[in-house]
Amino acid sequence: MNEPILTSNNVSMTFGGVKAVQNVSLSIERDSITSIIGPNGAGKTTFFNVISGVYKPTGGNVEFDGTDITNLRQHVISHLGMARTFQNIRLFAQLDNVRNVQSALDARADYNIFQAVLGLPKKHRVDKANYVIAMECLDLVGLKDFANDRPSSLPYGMQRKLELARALAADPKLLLLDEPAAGLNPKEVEEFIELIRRIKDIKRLTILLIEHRIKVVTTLSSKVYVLNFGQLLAQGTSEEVQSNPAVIEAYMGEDEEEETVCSK
Amino acid sequence: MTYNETVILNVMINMVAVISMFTLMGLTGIFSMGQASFMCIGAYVAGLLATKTDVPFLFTLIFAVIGGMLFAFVVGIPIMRLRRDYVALITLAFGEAIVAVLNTFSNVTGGAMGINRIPRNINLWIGAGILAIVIYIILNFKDSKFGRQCIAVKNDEISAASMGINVTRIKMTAFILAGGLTALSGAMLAYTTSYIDPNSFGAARSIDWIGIVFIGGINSMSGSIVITLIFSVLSETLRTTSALRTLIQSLIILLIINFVPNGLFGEHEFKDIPKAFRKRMSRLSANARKREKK
Amino acid sequence: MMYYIQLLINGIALGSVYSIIALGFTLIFSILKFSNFSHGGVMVVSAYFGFIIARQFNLGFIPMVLVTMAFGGILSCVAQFIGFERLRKIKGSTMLFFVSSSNLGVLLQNIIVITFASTYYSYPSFFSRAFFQLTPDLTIGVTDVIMLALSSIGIIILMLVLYKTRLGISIRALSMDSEAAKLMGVNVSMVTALTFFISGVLAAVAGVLCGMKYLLYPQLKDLVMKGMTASILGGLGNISGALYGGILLGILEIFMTNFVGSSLQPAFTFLFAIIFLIVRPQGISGKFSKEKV
Repeated sequence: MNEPILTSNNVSMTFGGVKAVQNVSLSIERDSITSIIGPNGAGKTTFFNVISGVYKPTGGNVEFDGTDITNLRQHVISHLGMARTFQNIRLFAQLDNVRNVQSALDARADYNIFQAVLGLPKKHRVDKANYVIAMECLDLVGLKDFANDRPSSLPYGMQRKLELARALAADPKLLLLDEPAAGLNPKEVEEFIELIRRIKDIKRLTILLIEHRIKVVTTLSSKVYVLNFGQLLAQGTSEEVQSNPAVIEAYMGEDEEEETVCSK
Repeated sequence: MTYNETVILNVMINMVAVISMFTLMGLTGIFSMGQASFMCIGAYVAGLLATKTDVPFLFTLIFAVIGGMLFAFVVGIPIMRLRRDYVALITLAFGEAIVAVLNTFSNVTGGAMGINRIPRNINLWIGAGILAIVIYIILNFKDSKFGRQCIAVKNDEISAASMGINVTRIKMTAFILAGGLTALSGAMLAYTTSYIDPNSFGAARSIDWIGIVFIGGINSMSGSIVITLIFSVLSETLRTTSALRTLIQSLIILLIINFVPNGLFGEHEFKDIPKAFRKRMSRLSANARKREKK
Repeated sequence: MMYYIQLLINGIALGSVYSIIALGFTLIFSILKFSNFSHGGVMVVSAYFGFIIARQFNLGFIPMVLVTMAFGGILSCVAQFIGFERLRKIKGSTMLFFVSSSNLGVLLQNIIVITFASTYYSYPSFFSRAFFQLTPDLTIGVTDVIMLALSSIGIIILMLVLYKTRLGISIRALSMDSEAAKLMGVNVSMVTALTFFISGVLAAVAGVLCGMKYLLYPQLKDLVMKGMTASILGGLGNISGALYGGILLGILEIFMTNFVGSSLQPAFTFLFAIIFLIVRPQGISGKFSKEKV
C-alpha cells in the first residue's frame, strides 16, 4: 500500500494568455504531511483548484487513490475522499457553525426527499447522528461552545478552525489546506500546529498544505515542493529546499517581513 | 361560494405560491421571473381535466402538481448551470413561451379566451388543508439536508461543491419542488375563480411574489406568509387601483432594501420563538448571577 | 428572394431597437456587474417626457431629443441613488440589486400608468416621410434608420469615452476593482453617477425612438427584457455585443414570426435562445471570466 495517494502528471492550467501552472508533476505519499510553498502568484492555489476539480486542467492529468480525477466535478472528487479549505475562507454565512460543519455530512446523508418532506423517522435518525458527528468535529478544533453562532461572529482565527472542522467532517483521505495559518499570530500558529498534530494522531489521513510560514512548513511537513511562476522549482525535505540556491533566489524578491526561507 | 370565501381562498392560494417562491429564492437563491407560468400550467391542467374529463378532483390536483414538476424538470435541465441573471431572464422567456403556446392552440386550450365554467370543487377546508400540507412540507424541507444544502449553495456554490454537494442536482430539486407547488396554487386558483386565461400569469405576478418574499425576509418562510396576509388584506380593504397598489408595494420594497435589507422578519421563523425566549431567559439569569457575585 | 431580403431588413430594423436598449443596459452590467432592470422604467418615463415637451413647447425632433436625453440622464442618477447607492455601500448581494432594480422599474412604470391612465398617446410626426424607399421592393422605416445610426454612433462614442478619456479609465478601473480604484483616487460615487447618467441618456434615446416607432404606452418598459436578451446573446459585459446581439435578436424574431406565426414566435425564440446559451454561454463576443477562487 505504498503507492502515492495523489499524483499529478504534467498538470498545466492556462487562462487566456496566462500560464498559471506549467507541467507540474508531483506525488504525495499516503499519511504524509506535504507542503507546497512558493512566492505569491506562483500558482499554488490554482494548482489546488485543479486537483480539487474547480478547474479542468488544460494539460496533464491527476490521479487520486487509483482513480483518474482530471475531468471529474468537484462534488464527485469530494465523495472520493478529498476535502479542502480555502485561502479566503469560504464558509456558509447563513448557516449556523455546526450546520456549516454538518454540510459535508448532509451531502452524504442517506435519506431521500420523500422521507425528508414527510418528516419520517429515518430522516430524524440520520440528521441526529450527523449532528452529533458535526459537534464532535467542532469539539476537536475547540469550537463546541460556538455551535449555534454564525461564522461572521467568529474572529478570523476561529473561522479558520471552523473551516478545518468542516473539511474534517467529510472524513477525507486527503486534506488540502490552503494557507491555513495565514493571518494568525504566533501563538495561534503554535496552536494550529498542535491541532494538526492531534488530528493526525486521531485520524488516518494525508495532508497537503500550501503555506508561507516556514515554521509551519518545517515543523510539520516531511516533504516540500516549491513552485515559482507556475513551475516546479525544487522538491525535497525542508532542509534541502531551504538551502537550495534557486529557491533562495526566488524568495529574495519577497517582502522583508516575510523572510520565510532565509531566516528562521 | 360566498365572496368572503373567495377572498380567503385567494389569500391561501397566494400563500402557497409565495411559499414556493421562498423555496426557490430564499433557500436556493434562484430568481425565477417566470414562476407565474407554473401557476398557469397547474391551472390549465386542472381546468382542462375538470371541464373535459371525469377525473376526480383530488387526482386533478395531483396531475397539476406532476405537470408543474415535469415542466420544471424540462426547463431546469439547461438552465441550472447558467448564472443567476440568465436564469431570471430565461424563466421569464419560458413564461412568455408558455403563454404563447396556450394562446395559439385554441381548440384544445380555448386560446386567449381561456377556460371557463370550471366547477367550484374547492372550499375553505380543502384550501386550508392544502396550505397546511404545503407549510409542513416546506418546513421539513428547510430543516433537512435538502434545505441546508440549498442554503449552502445559495451562499457559496464552489465551497458547497467542495463539500460534496451536487450543486446542479440541489438546484433542480428546489426548482422542481417549487414548480410543483406553484402549479398546485394554480389548480386551486382554477377551481376558485372558475375561469382562467393565459394572459393573467405574466411577469408582473412573479415580480409581485418576489417582492413579498423580500419584504418578509428572504430567509423567513413565516415572513413570507405574514406579508402575504397583510398585503392581501390591504388590497381588499383599501380598494385602490392595482397600479397604485403596485406602486406602493414597490416603494415599500425600495424602503426595505435601503434600510432593512434582510427583510422585516430577517431570518426568524415562528417556531423559533420558544427557543429564543428560553435563550433570552437564560442570558438574563446568567447576567443576574454575575451581578450577585460582584 | 426580395421578400427574404425585406425580412432581413425588417429584422435589422427591429434589431436596431433592441441594440439601443441593450447598449445602456450592457454599460451598467459591464461596469457595475448587475442587471439593471430599471432601465426600462427610465426609458418609458423619458418617452412620455419627450412627448409632453414636444407637444407643450412645439419642439422639433432634435431639441426634443436633446432635452429628453438630459432628463433621462438625471432621472437615471436619481434612480441610482434611490435604488442602489446604499446597496453598494453595504456590498449587497446580486439578489438585492436584482430586486431593487426590478421594483424601481415597476415603480417608474406605475407612475406613468397612474399619471396618464390608460390612454395611448402617439408622438407627433417629425418627419415628412415614414419610410425610405431603398428599391422598388424594399423599404425601411425612418425611425429604424435613425436608431441603427444612433446605436452605431453610440457604441463608437462610448468606446472612445471608455478608452480615450480619463473618465473612461476611471470607469473601467471601477469595473475591475472598486476598492482599488477608490484607493487610486477615483471618486467612486461620482464615477458611478456619471455611468448611470450615460446609461440614462441612452435609455432616453431608446425610449423616445420606441415611442415614435410604436405607440406611447407604459408597457414600453418591458422592452428592457429584449434589451437584456440582446445583451446576453451578444455577450454580457461586452459593449459591442449589444449591437450584434440586438441585430441577431431582431432578425431571429422576424424570421420566426414569418415561419411559425406571431403567436408561437415567443416559444421558438425562447427555444433558440436556450440552445444558443447552452452551446455558447459567453454570447457572440463575450469573454468567459473565471471567478477567482
